Amino acid sequence: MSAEAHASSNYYVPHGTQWPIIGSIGLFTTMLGAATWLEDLAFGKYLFVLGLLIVLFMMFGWFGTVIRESQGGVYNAQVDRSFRWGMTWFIFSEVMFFGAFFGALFYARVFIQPWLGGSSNSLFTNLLTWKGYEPTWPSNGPANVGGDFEAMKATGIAAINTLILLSSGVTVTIAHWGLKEGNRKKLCWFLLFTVILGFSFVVLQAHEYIEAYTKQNLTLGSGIYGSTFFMLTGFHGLHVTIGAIMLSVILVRSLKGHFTPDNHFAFEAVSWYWHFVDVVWLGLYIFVYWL
Amino acid sequence: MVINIFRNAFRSAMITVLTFMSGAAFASDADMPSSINMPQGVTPISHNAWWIHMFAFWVCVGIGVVVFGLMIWSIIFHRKSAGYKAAHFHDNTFFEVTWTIIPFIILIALSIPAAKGLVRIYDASEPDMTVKITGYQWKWQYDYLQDGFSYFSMLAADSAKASRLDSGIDPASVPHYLRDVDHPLVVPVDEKIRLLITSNDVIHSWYVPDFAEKTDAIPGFVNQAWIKVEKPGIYRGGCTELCGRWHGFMPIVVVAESRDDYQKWVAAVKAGGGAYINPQTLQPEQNGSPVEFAPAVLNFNAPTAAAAPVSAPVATAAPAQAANKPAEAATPASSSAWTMQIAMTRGKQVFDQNCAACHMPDGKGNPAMSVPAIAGGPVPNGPLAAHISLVLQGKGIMPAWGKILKDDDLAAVITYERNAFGNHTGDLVKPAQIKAAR
Amino acid sequence: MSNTAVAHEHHSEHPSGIWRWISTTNHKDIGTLYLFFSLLMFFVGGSFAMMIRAELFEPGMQLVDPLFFNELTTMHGLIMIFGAIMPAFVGLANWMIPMMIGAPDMALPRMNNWSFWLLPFAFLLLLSTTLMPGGGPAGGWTMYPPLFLQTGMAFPFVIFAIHLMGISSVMGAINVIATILNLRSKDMPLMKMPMFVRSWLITAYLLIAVMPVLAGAVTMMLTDRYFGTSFFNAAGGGDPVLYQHVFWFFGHPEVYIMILPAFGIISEIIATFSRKPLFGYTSMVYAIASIAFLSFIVWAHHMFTVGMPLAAELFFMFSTMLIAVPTGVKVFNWLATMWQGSLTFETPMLFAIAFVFLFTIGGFSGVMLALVPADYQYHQTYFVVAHFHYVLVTGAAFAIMGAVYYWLPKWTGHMYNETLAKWHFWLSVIAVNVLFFPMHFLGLAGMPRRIPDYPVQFTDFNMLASIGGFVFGASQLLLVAGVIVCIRGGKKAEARAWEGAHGLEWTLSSPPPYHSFTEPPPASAIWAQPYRPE
Ligand code: HEA
Ligand code: HEA
Ligand code: CUA
Ligand SMILES: [Cu+2]
Repeated sequence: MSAEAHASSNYYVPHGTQWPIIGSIGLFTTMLGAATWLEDLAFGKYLFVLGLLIVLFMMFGWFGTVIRESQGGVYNAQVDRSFRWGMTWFIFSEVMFFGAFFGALFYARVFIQPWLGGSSNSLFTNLLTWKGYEPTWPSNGPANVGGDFEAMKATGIAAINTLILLSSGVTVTIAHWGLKEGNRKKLCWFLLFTVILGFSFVVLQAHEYIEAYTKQNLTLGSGIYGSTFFMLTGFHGLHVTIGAIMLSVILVRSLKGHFTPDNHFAFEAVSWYWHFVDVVWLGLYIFVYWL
Repeated sequence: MVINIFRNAFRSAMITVLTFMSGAAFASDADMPSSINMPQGVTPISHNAWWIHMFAFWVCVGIGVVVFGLMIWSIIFHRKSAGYKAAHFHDNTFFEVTWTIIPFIILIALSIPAAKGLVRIYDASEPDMTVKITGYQWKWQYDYLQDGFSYFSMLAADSAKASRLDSGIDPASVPHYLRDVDHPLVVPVDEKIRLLITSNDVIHSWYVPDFAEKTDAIPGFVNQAWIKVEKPGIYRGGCTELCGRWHGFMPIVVVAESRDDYQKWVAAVKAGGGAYINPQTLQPEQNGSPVEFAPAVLNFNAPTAAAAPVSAPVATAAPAQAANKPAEAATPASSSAWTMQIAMTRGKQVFDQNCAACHMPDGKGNPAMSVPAIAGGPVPNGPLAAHISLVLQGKGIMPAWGKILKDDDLAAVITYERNAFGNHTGDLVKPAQIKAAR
Repeated sequence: MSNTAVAHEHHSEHPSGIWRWISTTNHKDIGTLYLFFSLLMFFVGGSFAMMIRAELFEPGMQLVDPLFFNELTTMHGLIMIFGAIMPAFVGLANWMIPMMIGAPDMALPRMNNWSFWLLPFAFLLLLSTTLMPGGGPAGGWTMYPPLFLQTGMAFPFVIFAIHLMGISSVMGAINVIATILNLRSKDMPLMKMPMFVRSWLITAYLLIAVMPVLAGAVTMMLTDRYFGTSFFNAAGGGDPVLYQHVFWFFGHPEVYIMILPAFGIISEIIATFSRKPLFGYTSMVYAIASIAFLSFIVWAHHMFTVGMPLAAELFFMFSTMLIAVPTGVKVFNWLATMWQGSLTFETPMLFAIAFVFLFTIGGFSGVMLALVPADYQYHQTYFVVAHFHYVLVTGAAFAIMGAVYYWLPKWTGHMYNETLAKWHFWLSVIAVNVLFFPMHFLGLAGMPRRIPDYPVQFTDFNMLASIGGFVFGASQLLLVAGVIVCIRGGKKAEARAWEGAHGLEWTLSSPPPYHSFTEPPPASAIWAQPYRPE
């Protein structure tokens, strides 16, 4: 996979790569594992882990290659633009993924609840099937699925986490300024702060979950409220974790001095991703915790 | 064989041409259904649907004539082989605007009657009577809420037999193949009948072409629809939402009768003590699950049910599967003394709702699906433990009911299976035994 | 824009044998892979369809168990949509877009390889389920809960297969957008792009917007089954219909994903064989854009009978009907392009003409379906099946076949065998109508979809349809024959294989060099394209 290091004015087209097929095999194994695991077959979880390892291996290899090529200076401004378009649209697809779950939450609150309560043309839903059910939110449905629970509050951990994410958005921006000024110190320090904030968010959320399960009797099984709450915050938490890991990688690369004021796509990609995670959280805070 | 095919093909072709030249649909007589166009049907809604359909159809034919005409014209006259030289225009604002505006106007013309018709469909208020229809895998339950009785309606035995893989029976020899049931729904003509449609398991859809009535049966929700049948007759339809293995085998038959014939039938049913009464002969029939009686619920004739008394609040103890059980079945788990009598009545209810679809209401099983009989079957008359574990774990196409039913429902149904249909083990299974066996 | 010359190792280096295909980052190789994969899936899905038609040949159960029939229907739908039609379009995009915009390759070649190589695994996962206890998915390609929750062991496998397909499509779409926006020759403004490229730009946007939503829908179903969530369970405050909303929010744009590239292809072909500029380029562009926009606000027209509030029914009826307007604009523009052209009727043109005829018929039935009171009759009957096969088979699939014949000379450097091709066309176009037209009547007479057995009065038309089906299926073997013959050899094709052909792809030799444009094409080459308005 060696490339000519000089042609920086040319559009670089690699010749052949083994990483994608490894990635495919990895994902395939992962999902095969997950599926067999869910259908509780013994070897499922091992397959699953194995698959994840393969995917991890692929990521190291693939990103490694790209970084080496980038350092080798085979990428020109146009290649850089391609990467930017790629990242932009990837983030857009993520937005749509969360959109599906926000949509579900919206539908459950604005439509399903009143309908179970007999409004619109489902009067008899309430008169015959769910006799006298009063629409409410938070709700675990007319059958009180999962038993009574204590809903999440907008104050407390959620509020703290909001502050954390918002400030992490600021720190990463400052780090970016530092990078643009060529101020390594500023860059690394504020990146470090960002990473710390990111992980502390994850820790706090883990704590919140434990509280929910142990003290509030609020679980995935707590009807539609539990479902939407855990799926939304869960997927978001997953993204925060990934984002924080990516930030750590960027931190290491900054320490190695990979980035120059005018060539640091990787850094920007990660910061975009981080801001995206940030914005999603605002949505969560408003619609899941607050309203 | 081959000849036969071509005969059929030819006939179809002729019918096609004729119908569409006249634009008329066949008068829809339930016994000789229209084989080519939408039936005009026998309800205000169905006439309206037919009218909109034909209107849209002719509009499309019109547009088609223009579009295809122009195309054929240039295909014929603007051929290179005919030495035609290409012009070079590539824009013309006037035309582009025109063929944006005109379709738009046509669409408005189409949408107005459609909107009107839709508003009509949605007005189920002030009915003369109300029937609750519940979909099951794979049968329908008709519940005459005011008269306080209900019964199940499933595929007629002869159709079921003939539709078996390689049954060797020629479907054509079976009267109303796949469009015949044991217990038809019976309704009076000229009355506005409100249908309350829901489901007990998966989504079904209650469809009778002659009524233009198709409404999805959604578990946990009750949809409203209404029909007003104009002329007496037998009308046939079927389930139109994929609902599993026997989706194609849960037909709908509606017998529409004059008001007093209908009243006679209702009276007969009430007198019949559990036997289904054939609406034509008014004779009792023993061909399926019995009619069940319950105190009449709510007065649905009130314009809005706001006046209706709201009865007992839902049992909060109901499990997550509650969506798969209509409320009347969701009796609190902690029921009082567990006597044989309670277990049997409860067991029958559970059996009819869950097991009868495959094991048949008479417990004779369904060879078509290779479903063993309960009546005299080895398991219900064999060791109790084996019976319980089979019901809990399931086997082959039999679901693991342990995951689906509550302990007392299971205890009841197993008791029932061991002491009904001519089985006399005498065992009374207790909910505790089920819990233990889980 | 900086120029787009390429840097790469020497050609002698690039590997041969199977590894070449596994490791390739070349847009032509990957395009070829996509196209062959889609052909394979077309045959697999088609074989399922043949079994369906055989069972439906006459009333009574002759061949399969009802549950297996439902599997056939489900697999047929899933495979044809995700395995045959979509990969075919991505394959064409891979082959043609770089050549049409003067680029050396796709913007992200490695990811391009990954987008493809996920697919075989995805379908391995999907097809393997047919062998599992409880059988494969049998809930229809729409996979509505609660029924789909009753699926046996296959359940999670199907869902993960769909996730893989989704990942693949999204990456493919991202690549297309990046390529078009970033690798386009600097002398080619957006409003002068070939119509195929233009339509793909918008399609790619749709793909990225809705694929993740499908992923969300099936994920909710997964957690409902295994982790006790209540999204689709009324008892817990959910609603089975919620799934349908999320699914169709994906599903309707999805159907336009399967037709917009076809619109692009047809525009190219008709202009070429009319020897005339494409009529109304600008209005074409706005038409596609507005179709894409509208496709996001019509989804519930698949759910008119679930008992939505009246207002919703009205809104979705009107918005759905609106789509007829921009689509009409396209149809009329194609007519105007043919009008006073000097037409010749090589096979690609024949397919294009058939497309305009038959897609329009499919569109008409679509508009009829949009009229709610009538849809209460049509819904879930064979009328719907007729509708979507007219737009999918004689629409999407015909456009793909046309494209294959149109560009085969460019790809292989040989002209295909015209007689063979003509046979393929005429057999297909006749058989396909015998196959699908009678389904309109079946539907109107009230025959439901997804049933393995039917009342006797439906026999005639079902026999007719089955016969048409077998003939249509068999004639697809001619397509394969034609392609193989053309690859093997045949009359040498010039760079500009078709007299009336325009566009950069025709300025390259046939077959084109390994790297399409190692040097950006001269502005003159682009502005010399007469069929783009000044
Ligand atoms: C390529 C795929 C494709 C395309 C392009 C379309 C195009 C359209 N479809 Fe179709 N549709 C499907 C694929 C597609 N559909 C599928 C797969 C299903 C079934 C899914 C399932 O349930 O499994 C379906 C189902 C479906 C339904 C649900 C039916 C039901 O289940 O009850 C409806 C209802 O409104 C509908 C409407 C339309 C409309 C209005 C268009 C319009 O875009 C058509 C516009 C085109 C024209 C109108 C012709 C050209 C226009 C003119 C010549 C101008 C003048 C014309 C007029 C003024 C009328 N479609
Ligand atoms: C997207 C594209 C697409 C395509 C191309 C097709 C192609 C075909 N479909 Fe399609 N079909 C769908 C999409 C498509 N379908 C969808 C989405 C559904 C809904 C599924 C659902 O309800 O969930 C459906 C449902 C559907 C049904 C309804 C099933 C039911 O409701 O139970 C039927 C019934 O006839 C049918 C038939 C056919 C036939 C005969 C073809 C033919 O065109 C196929 C022709 C191709 C071949 C036959 C393969 C190539 C040839 C060979 C393999 C050689 C061997 C064959 C012979 C020698 C005969 N399809
Ligand atoms: Cu019940 Cu289909
Ligand atoms: Cu649609």
